[in-house]
Amino acid sequence: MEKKIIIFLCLSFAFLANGQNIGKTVDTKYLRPSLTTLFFQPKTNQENTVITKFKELPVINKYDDNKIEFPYFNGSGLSAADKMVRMKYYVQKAANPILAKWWNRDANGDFNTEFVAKRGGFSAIDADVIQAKASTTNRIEMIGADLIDKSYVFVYEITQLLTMEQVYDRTDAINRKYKNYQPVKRDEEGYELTYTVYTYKLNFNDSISSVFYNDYWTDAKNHDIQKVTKWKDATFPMMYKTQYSATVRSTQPKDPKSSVYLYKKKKTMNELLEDMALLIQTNSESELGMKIEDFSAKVAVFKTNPLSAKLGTKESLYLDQRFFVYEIEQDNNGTQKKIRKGVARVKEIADNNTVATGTTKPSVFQQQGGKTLFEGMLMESKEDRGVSVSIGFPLSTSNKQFGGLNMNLDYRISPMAKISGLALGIDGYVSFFNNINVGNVTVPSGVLPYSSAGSDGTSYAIAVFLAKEIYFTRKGNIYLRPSIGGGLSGYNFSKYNGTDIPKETDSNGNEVPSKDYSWSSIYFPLNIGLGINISPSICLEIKPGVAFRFASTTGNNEALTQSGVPDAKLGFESLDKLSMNSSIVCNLRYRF
Amino acid sequence: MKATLKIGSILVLLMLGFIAIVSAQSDRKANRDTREWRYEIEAMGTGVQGTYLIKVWTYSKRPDVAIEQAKKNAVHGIIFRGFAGKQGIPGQRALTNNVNLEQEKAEFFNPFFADGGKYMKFVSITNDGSVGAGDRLRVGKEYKIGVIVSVNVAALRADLEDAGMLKGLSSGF
Repeated sequence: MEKKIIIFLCLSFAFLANGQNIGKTVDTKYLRPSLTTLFFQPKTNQENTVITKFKELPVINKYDDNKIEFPYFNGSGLSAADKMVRMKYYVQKAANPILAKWWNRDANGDFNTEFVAKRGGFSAIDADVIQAKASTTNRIEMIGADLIDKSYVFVYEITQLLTMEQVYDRTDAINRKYKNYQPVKRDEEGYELTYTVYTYKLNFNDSISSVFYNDYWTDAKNHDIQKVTKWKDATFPMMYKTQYSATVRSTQPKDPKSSVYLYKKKKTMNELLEDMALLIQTNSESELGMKIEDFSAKVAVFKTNPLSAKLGTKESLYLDQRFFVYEIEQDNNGTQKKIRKGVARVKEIADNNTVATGTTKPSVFQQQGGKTLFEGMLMESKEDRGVSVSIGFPLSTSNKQFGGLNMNLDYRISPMAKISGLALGIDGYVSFFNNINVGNVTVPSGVLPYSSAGSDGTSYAIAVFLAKEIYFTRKGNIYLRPSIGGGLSGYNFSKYNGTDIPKETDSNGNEVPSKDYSWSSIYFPLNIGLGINISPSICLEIKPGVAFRFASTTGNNEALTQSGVPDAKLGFESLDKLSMNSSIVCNLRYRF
Repeated sequence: MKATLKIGSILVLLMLGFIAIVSAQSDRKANRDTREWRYEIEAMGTGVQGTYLIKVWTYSKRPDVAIEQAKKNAVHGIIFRGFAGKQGIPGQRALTNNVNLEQEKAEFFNPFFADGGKYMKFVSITNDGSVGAGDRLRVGKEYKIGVIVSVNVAALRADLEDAGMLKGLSSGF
């Protein structure tokens, strides 16, 4: 019997849970969020410097700035649970000046719609403006009122602020436990700061807004002294959304002769401390922008050739910002769901940082995979970190040094460089060889054994490269990725001429590989990858390329001379001259 | 040489014929969708003097067809169906109470609602050239597209009165 009841309850729950979704619609309207930043009570003068600077910073353009004068939150000595309870009450009190700001409360305690209308006007899109022109009701002001429900509060807590000296001390303290302990190099000065940001959203739904209008609204025409008095103690519900913790560093080399100071001025310790404010703001707003859905810009596809949408500088669009394009499906119950149809990235950014007039220029996007897109589909910002990692293996190579296991890490620099698809990265190859005939290799000092059959070791190549992704089809399922770079390639031998190579001792007394048996050369790789976007994050890349390698030297800077006939495809035959090495590598690339 | 020209001409003619058939089929599909008059009307705001501002939800297998048919559906809806109001926006009754008017006066309404027909004089699309993100829905195998239009009801009524399709507002007095 009990079993039957449990099954019945489970089925009922499943039915009810399913029922919750009936008629659920997809939120397609992007309402510009506004931001208020509040802070925990600073514990030191240094924390105070950071917070004072932070308060001066404007919020990024994507948000409306809801700055208010509000006291610090004092959370010292509270347990984690108590802290959250007290903080909720604190932000609910902050909702009072936030709403006062929205409704432009004056010295008499009266509200008016001036500020709301202004923000609504700035937030309105072309479609709103065109509709407003065809209507007798002012929709724009209504948009302004809707924006209030997108009021966010970030409460920042500095959990730790250390000088770099303290950071080095901490690192040394940890490393002391290990064998071969080496003190960390203390070549940087500045600060390391760890913070947590707690985010809340004002809940200004229909029932709460009606409480506001009924209980507190008073204006110049209908001044109500009782409501003015009552307002002083008014609080409004705030919903906890999420929190985020991170560590940022503001440092510079200690050495005043460092090459860094050839192009920038050495900062004072106070300036380094003040720089922390911008670092925290950029870091937290970018991370939370990915976590909170209200911060993701949403828009309809305006045109498909070229792919364009009416977003721009007002929404802080940046080059290569990622968007997913969805089709909305509706079932017979009216329940809607988003079906992803493609991925697109920003290619050209329109300046829309004005009030819409109905003829705003759209930004242009490049589709990067998926199916055919149509006008009216939903585009939603899904930012990624701009990092991609790939791992691959050679399909064919003339020199295994550039055709071994391939690993590649790159970071998109297009927003800084203002060139779409541009990335800077590190590319490396590694391969192992056993019992190989290296040929007859000599150096001027004659240290190396003449005959070198039976050698074991590792070959490597590591280069810094600049790459650009180029799309030439409308759907962008395939792309070309030419890249150019420069780096070091080399060989490290463990066995030479059939004999184990003894290690050398460096100035610190540590054992290091023998310099005579560590050969290296400079090389410049040129590749052109052909990629297929399998999913928004995964692509398969075939990368043919050439690497121009210059003559090699030993770790002691002695030029190598080859006079024998070594085993093929390891590059030993061209040790002493410029060589061109070709390879085709197949990579699986993952974008973060 | 002559034979090549002949074959070439035949191929071109065949291709043109194929294109014409495809195009005609597409028009037929669009017209079939319209003839069924499958649409819904939603009040969007109080239109400026003499106009209604409405959103017309049109069903079609092709979204582009639905957008074009929306204008036709809007005028049809204003004449024969009317629409319900919502949150401070009043609904409107149909211009005619005669439920059989469309069939009775088919000789007038068929050309009126034909492609490029007179209906176009009374309706204009009220958007920036694209459908809103929430107004393009896939329902089963077809699309439900919402297009906001402004219908000049005053001019429409006057035109229908002139044509004898509606009685004048003052005719009852």
